This record gives sequence, C-alpha cells and structure tokens, in this order.
Amino acid sequence: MKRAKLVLWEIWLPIILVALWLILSTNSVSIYFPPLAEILQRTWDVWFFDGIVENLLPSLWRILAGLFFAVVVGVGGGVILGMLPKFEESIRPILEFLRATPGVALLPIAIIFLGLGDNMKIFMIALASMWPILLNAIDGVRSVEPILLRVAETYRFNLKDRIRFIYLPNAAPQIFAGARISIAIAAVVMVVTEMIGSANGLGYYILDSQRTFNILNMWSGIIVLGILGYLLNFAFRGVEGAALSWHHKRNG
Amino acid sequence: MTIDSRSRSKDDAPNAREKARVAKERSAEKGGAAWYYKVGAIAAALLVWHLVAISPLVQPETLPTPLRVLSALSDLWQTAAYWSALGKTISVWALGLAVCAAIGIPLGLLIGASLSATRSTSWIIDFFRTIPTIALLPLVLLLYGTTIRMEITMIVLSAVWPLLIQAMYAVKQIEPLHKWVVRVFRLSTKDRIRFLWIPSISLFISTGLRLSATMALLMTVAAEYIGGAPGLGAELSAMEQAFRRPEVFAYTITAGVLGLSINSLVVLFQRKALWWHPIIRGEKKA
Amino acid sequence: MENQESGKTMEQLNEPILQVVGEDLLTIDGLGKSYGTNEVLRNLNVSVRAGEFMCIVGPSGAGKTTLLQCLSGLSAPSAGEVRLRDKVINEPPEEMAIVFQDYSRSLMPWMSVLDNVMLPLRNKIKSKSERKAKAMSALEEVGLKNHVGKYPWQLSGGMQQRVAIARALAYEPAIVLMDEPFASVDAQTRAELEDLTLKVKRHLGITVLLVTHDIDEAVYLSDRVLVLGGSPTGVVDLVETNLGEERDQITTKSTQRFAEIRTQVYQQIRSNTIKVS
Repeated sequence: MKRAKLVLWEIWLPIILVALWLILSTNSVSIYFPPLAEILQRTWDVWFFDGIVENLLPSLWRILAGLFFAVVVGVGGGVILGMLPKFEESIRPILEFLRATPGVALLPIAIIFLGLGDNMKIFMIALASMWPILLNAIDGVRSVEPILLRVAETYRFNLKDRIRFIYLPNAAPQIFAGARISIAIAAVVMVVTEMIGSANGLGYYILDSQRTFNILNMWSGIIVLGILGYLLNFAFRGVEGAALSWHHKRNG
Repeated sequence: MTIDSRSRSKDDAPNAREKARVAKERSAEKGGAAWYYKVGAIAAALLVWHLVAISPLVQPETLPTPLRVLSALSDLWQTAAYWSALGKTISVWALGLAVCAAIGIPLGLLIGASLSATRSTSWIIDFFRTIPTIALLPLVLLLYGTTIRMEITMIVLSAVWPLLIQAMYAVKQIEPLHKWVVRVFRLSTKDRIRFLWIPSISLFISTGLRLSATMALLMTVAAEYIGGAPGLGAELSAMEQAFRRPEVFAYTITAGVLGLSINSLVVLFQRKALWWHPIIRGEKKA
Repeated sequence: MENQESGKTMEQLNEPILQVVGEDLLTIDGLGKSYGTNEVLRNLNVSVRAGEFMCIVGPSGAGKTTLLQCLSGLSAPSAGEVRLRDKVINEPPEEMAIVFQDYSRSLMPWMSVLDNVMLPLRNKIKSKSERKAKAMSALEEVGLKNHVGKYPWQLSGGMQQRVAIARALAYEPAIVLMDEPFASVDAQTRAELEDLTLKVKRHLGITVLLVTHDIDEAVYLSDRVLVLGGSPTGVVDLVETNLGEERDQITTKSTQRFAEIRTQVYQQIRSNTIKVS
C-alpha cells in the first residue's frame, strides 16, 4: 500500500502534463508544434519496427560500445592511477586539461584522424564520457581505509586480490556515480557525432528530418531518443542496485 | 585536535613561512608531487606529440607539431576574429549560466523543501535530465534561428538540471540540529536565512554551479559548431572546413583553456568562501 | 519580580533573572506523546521548581529526548500540556535555552566561537557591542576566554560543549534544558563539565533540567531526580537528594547519603526494565 502511494505521487504530475500537451495541441496550427496525437501516430508508424532497425540500433550500438571502452579505460586507468599517487599527480594537469575541454572542441581533431565513420564516433563517446568514471575511480581507490590495507597485509594478499577484494569494492559506489554522469555525456556526444556526418542514427535522423522540413518525423525522433535515454538510465540503475546492494543497505 | 594552519584567530595565526611548511608537509603526506614533476610531465607529453607528428606513423600534414600549433595560435591572437569569437562564447556562456542559476536555484530550493513537491517532480526531472538536449537543437534552430536566444535556450535546457538538483539536495541536507538551534533561540527569518540557510547550502550550490558551468560551455560550443552561431565553435568549424589544421588545434586548445579556467575559478571560489566546511577542509568525504 | 507578559522591555531583560525560588516554573501536566500508533510517553505529571537542578534518568530508549522536545516546544504533545509560568508551551519559549548532546553538530562550523555564542542574542539585544559583551562574559564563565576567535572544529569535544553551554547562558534564560550533554565526552572531561554546570547554575541562579542516563551524574548534580520508566514511559519516582549546596566529586560521592540515593534510583530503574520485558 505504501509502495503504491509512492508510485502515485510520482506519476500524477507527468500524466497531467502529458494530457495537457495532448489536449492543448490537438488543434494546433503551428508548424513547429504539431498535435501530440499526430506525433505519436507518426512515431508508431515510422519506428516500429523498420525505424528501430534503421536508426535506433546503430545509435544504440555506438553508445554501448563507447560506454564499454569508457568503463574499461576509466576503471582500469583509475585503479592504476589510484595506486600510483605520485604519477597521477604529475599527469593531473594534462588530465584536467583534456577533461575540461568541451568534447565538441575535440571533434575536429578526432575527425582528422579517424574520419567520419563509426570508429570516430565510438572513440569520441568513449573519450568524452570516461572522465567521470576515471576520476571517481581514482578517488575511490585513494579513499580506502588504511586499516583495510593493513588487514590485507597481515593476510598476505597479493596485488590481484587487493584490487579485487579491497580497491574495487571500495571504489564501486563512486564508479557507479561517475558512470551515471558518463551515460548522460555519452548520449550527448553520440547525438552530436551523428549530426555532423552520418548516414544513420538518431542524431542524423532528427537533423535530417528538420532539414527536409519533416517536423512530425523530427519530433518522433526526439521522443524515441528521450525514451532511449530513459531506458538506458533505468537499466543502469537496475545494475547499480544489484551491484551495490551492500552499500545501499549500509547507508540506509 | 590540532589547530588548522588556516586558523583565523589573531592569537595563533602562524606566520607565512610556517603556513607554507605545513602546507608542503600536508601535500607530501598525501603522496603529492612537487610542481616540477607536473611541469616535467607536460614537457614529456609535448615531446611525444612532437615526435609522433614528425614520425612516419602519421601522414604528413595530418598532425601539426606543437610548434606549428603555437605559431598558428600566436598569429590568431593578432586577429580580431579570434578575440571576438572568444568574447562571444564567454558572454553567451555567462548569460546562459546566469539564467540557469536564476531559474534552477530558487526552483530547486522550493522543490527540495517540500517532500510532496520532490516526489511529484522526481520522475519529470529524471526524464528531462537524461534527454540529450542537443537533440532539441534542430527544433530550437527552427524556432529562433542562429541567434543568441537559440543559444540561451539550448544552454538552459541542458544546464539547469545540475543546479536544480543540487539545490534540492542542499535543502534536504541542512543539519536538523541547526534547524532546532535557530528555533530554540527564536531567530528571525532574516537571520535564519543569513546565518543558517546560506552557509548550509553554499557547498551544494557551488558544486551545482561547477557542473552547470561545464555543461553550459559544452552546449555553447556545440550550438556554435553545429548550429552555426558565432563564437569559438563556429571558428572551429570554419577552420576545419578550410583544412587549416594548425588553426583547428589552436582553437581546440583555446576551448580547453577556457574550460579549465572556468573550472579553476569555481574551485577557487569554493575554497575561499567555504574554507570552514569539513569537506573542503578535507576532514570528511563528500 | 515576575515577567508574565511576553512583551518585555530592554531593562527587564537585562536584569538578573529573579525568580521566586521554590515556585513552580515549568509544569508538566498529563503529558503524552505518540508517533502514529507508537505511544512513547503517557501521563507525565511533574513540576520543576524555580532555582532547582532536576535530573531526568531512565533506561535507553525511554523517550527522554522525546520528552525534551515536548518540553521545549520543538514537538507538540499528543496529550496534556507543558506550561512555563502558566503559559502553555507550543513553540520554543523565550525564557528557555537548550544544550544538545551532539555539540559538534549543534554549533555552526562557519562561525567563530564568539559568533556562535552571540547568534541567539540577535533578536533580544539590538546593540552589537552589548551582544559581544554578554557573549564574552558567558565564555569567560565557562573558561573559554582565550579561544573566542577559534572555530568549533578547532576545539576539543569538551571545549565545544562548553561553547554550547556558554551559548545557552548568554541567552539569559530562566530555565536551561540539557539533553545528555556530557554523554559524548571522556570521564574526566565529564567531571569537569559537571562541576562547571553546578558552578554556573549557582552563580547565575538559573533553573536546570538535565537528561542523562548516568545515575551517578544525576544524583551528584541534582536537587531532585525524576526517574522515568515503563512502556509507554511514565514517571516511576521523584527522589529528593538532599545532598546540600556544596558538591564535590570526591567527598559528595563518598557520603552514605549519596550511596543510598544512588541505590534507590538504580533499583527503581532496574525494577522497571524487568517489568517491561
């Protein structure tokens, strides 16, 4: 009963807003804001199922591949750098510079080296979205309670064990927190790269529809992209909840 | 408890030399590297860059050497176009961020203060936060063209969320004991705002500011690069299309320095204004 | 001279708090408090006399903090009422100050010790120099004259609690509520703070109501000990200590009377916890 009440609290406002949108836009004559009903109809027609194969899957592939590399480099690099504080502090200015550069500004350089294909897109997604994971991983490794390391010493843990049983679990909550931001960044970079040179993908579809003045199609693309982003986050939260159940229970 | 070297008490403010010694000790304690290590690392990176650029690994003319980029940069510094673009990006970014703050902070504080408001809006905020707002660029371009209004709209749509969310957190984490103290001693509302609320929420708000500032810059440059509004992004695109590679690198570095400066400014502000906070002091983990 | 109206003049506020010693200052009348279906306190009846030192003891979880919240107006009672000089308390009254247990979290870290102590005086005293003078005198009273410029987190636990006490004193309340104020400090510091509290109370003539789980402390400090117990919590006993005006950690605690009272209180508490299970 309490659970149902909570859900009710969370959905009443969204439902009302969508209903309002639906009603207020029914007789809309504005070119840029067509009736929601028509948008939804178009979304259904276009995307299920040809559209999904043609444009959604390529986008999904790129963002997942990019995130995969972001996680591997971010966690791996983060753990290594976390355990080598002097080295990490030395290269910190370079890392900070790369991180602070707006990802879009790195695009031209990536295009120079990797062209306009999928490789460039996946590389840019990984490059831009690995920073939150990397920095949080470094922090998570550094913040291990010294006493835990002393325990490891008395039980003669080797490096692999230390990483697996102490450093990684300790850094996990922060890595996940960073990963959540990474997903958001990856989504943005994915769309941007698809807008500037692509033959398929959600970003391409939205921009192309706008150029050819297919407003309904454009809106349908936006909606699908929003749903994709939301589903990605939803799936992520499921994974996070399962992996960090010990952390959540402890912190209440 | 040892006395922090940043003590403000007149009785025991240590002299400058003592402060520096303590700071160095602290930094060494944390395994920190002295400044010459950092400079060395940067020099090494530049050297690697240079070697790769002149090596047969890369096609000639693809990767300009650091010196070539530097010379292109200094040439650009002489042009009006460079400074006008930089100024444009900075001013649009600043304006956009100000609007984000004006909307996000009050709204976040209000929502955070009410449990029912938080619950009602959590789904909505969550959903809009995860939308890659750049996807709305085509729409906003249709509405406003390549104007400042378009840029500000894009900035607000994407960068208001960190400030909003952080403001919400800020309200919720005000120390309950402090709230009791101001009630027991019957402080006026104005005093409560000045002595309790503002100091309490300032850490979270400043973090939100840092996140929003980064997002806002990203969106500004993206709107210029893709949408064609004047600024750094537009220059970047122009140089790219003209195949002027050294200039492309020069503008990228400019954007990087800009991003770094913004970040450093916020962090500096945090350290100065919030020096008393346990997290800034390093006693507690965030 | 009794001040029954809430609109006091400056002169009246700045004069020493004269109370008719022995009159009922704080009256707890049929107090009950429930959280939903969970009844924590039931039918508490006791009066705190002006100028006395009353300690409240009881087993852990007996709702002592809940009681303090109702007494201070931070929480509304579910039944009965609390009156300060015949005026019902439904919000923190002007003549009452509280010292909380968690001193590190009750002091504001962004303000110096002096600023922390001066803060509550803002709505009582307009002149900054006067506020500062009162705060300085309170800090001197608790022995922190040389630390006024420091920040709370630069001080030890015992010193931080003394700041919290000074803050309550500078406010010049008629009655001070203390919620297990010495629970989080080491035994030696606790003895010092206990004696400090006794000295300050005597010096300023205030009424003190102190909640503690430490029976020795309760008997040592107080004129009367209120024993709570049972489930839901109610008054088990009200014991007069009759240990005299002058108290000393060594001599008082080795008197026979002290041992008798202590045993009595202990037995009351113990018998009640057995009843609960």
